[in-house]
Amino acid sequence: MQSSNRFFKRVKPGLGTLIEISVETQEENAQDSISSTFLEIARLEKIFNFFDPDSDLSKMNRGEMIELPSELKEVVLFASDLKNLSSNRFNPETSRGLDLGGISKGFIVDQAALFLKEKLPDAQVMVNAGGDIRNLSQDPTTIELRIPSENDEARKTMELQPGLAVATSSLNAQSLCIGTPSAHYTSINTSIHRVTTATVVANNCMTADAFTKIVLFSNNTEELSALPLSSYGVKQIFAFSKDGHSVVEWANR
Amino acid sequence: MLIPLLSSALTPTTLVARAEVYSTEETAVSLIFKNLKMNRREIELTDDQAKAIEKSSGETVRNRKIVVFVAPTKEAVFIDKVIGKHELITYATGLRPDGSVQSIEIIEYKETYGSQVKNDEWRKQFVGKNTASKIKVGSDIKNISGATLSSAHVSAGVKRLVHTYAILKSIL
Repeated sequence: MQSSNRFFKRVKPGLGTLIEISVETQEENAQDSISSTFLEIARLEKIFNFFDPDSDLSKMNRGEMIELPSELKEVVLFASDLKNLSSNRFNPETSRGLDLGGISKGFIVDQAALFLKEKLPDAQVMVNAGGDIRNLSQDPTTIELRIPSENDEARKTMELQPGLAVATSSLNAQSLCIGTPSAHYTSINTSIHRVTTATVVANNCMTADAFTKIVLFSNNTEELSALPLSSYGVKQIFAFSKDGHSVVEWANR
Repeated sequence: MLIPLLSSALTPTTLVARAEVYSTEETAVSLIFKNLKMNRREIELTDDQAKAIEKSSGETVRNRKIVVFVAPTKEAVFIDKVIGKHELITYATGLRPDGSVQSIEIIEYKETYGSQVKNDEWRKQFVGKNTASKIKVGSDIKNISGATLSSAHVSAGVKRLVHTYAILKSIL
């Protein structure tokens, strides 16, 4: 680290949560780049807004889009791939068309981090949207995982390596900041240690985000083991039950 | 491969309380309205004004003391606080002369868990308090995944401020 580096931390509301952008750079005008990254996030958020009748997603769902924007196309293809892979554990189809809320947040975090990194190539960049985090810096960063517990106080720490992303999804209705909670899933299992919180580390945040849903809605660990996790760039999985039991702890060594 | 760990209950840690300061009031103001000269004012709402804001916004006015930066051309940046289930957020909301939102910057986000959050004193300390915070640089504050953080409280606060501006505009 050079002594002339400056740190910037900006937070704005967005994606249903607070979005934090952290930058370490020698650039004087980093604030301008951060501002335009927030504008890019707002632009992408509008494309994927299931509840906005004017969004590209809504237009697509009504069959009014002939040529999909590249961002929408990418996420739709990935969602459809994961739906098949997971035997519908991950399923964005609703009676009102596709709801991509389960992965678009991760996708937007990735896009924002890459957008800012392109503007500030020498900078250390981190984007965190309510726990969906992409680390585009040269150093690992410490992440605290919130673990279900009676008083919400339990934490587990982990290191997020450079380039990687982490996402967490939870079944607690009010903490599901991932679009329409009920829309994505077809199965609830009833094992003793039902997973209610799943954290996934992956090559990018869209993958991490999507696999948290697959972990939440898998019936057992064998079902998860059967998935080609490594080839999708999944690096680590942590899953906890409502009472804070660690149900799954897996790492791709 | 996947290792089910069925009985390793995690011991809850002790109380977690943290504060993250992202910028000062002044930095936030200059990020929202670049190059505008704005003056900081403190205004105490009258009963009638508070009632009018509550009526038109549908949001409760918890704090009668308004901190607002105003430009001669009537652009305004309100410094406000909202309290969520586990967090206190200090934020700046910039409003254009027509009353529409220019942008929002979070100034400070303080999170607390456990018994402290139930304590009214914890909440009281934020009411009417001004931020005189310094920018925290190079801190090793941890990122949290698994956030229950919602921007709903900020949205409700912004709604209240839009109506506050409408009611105060003539005297700003």
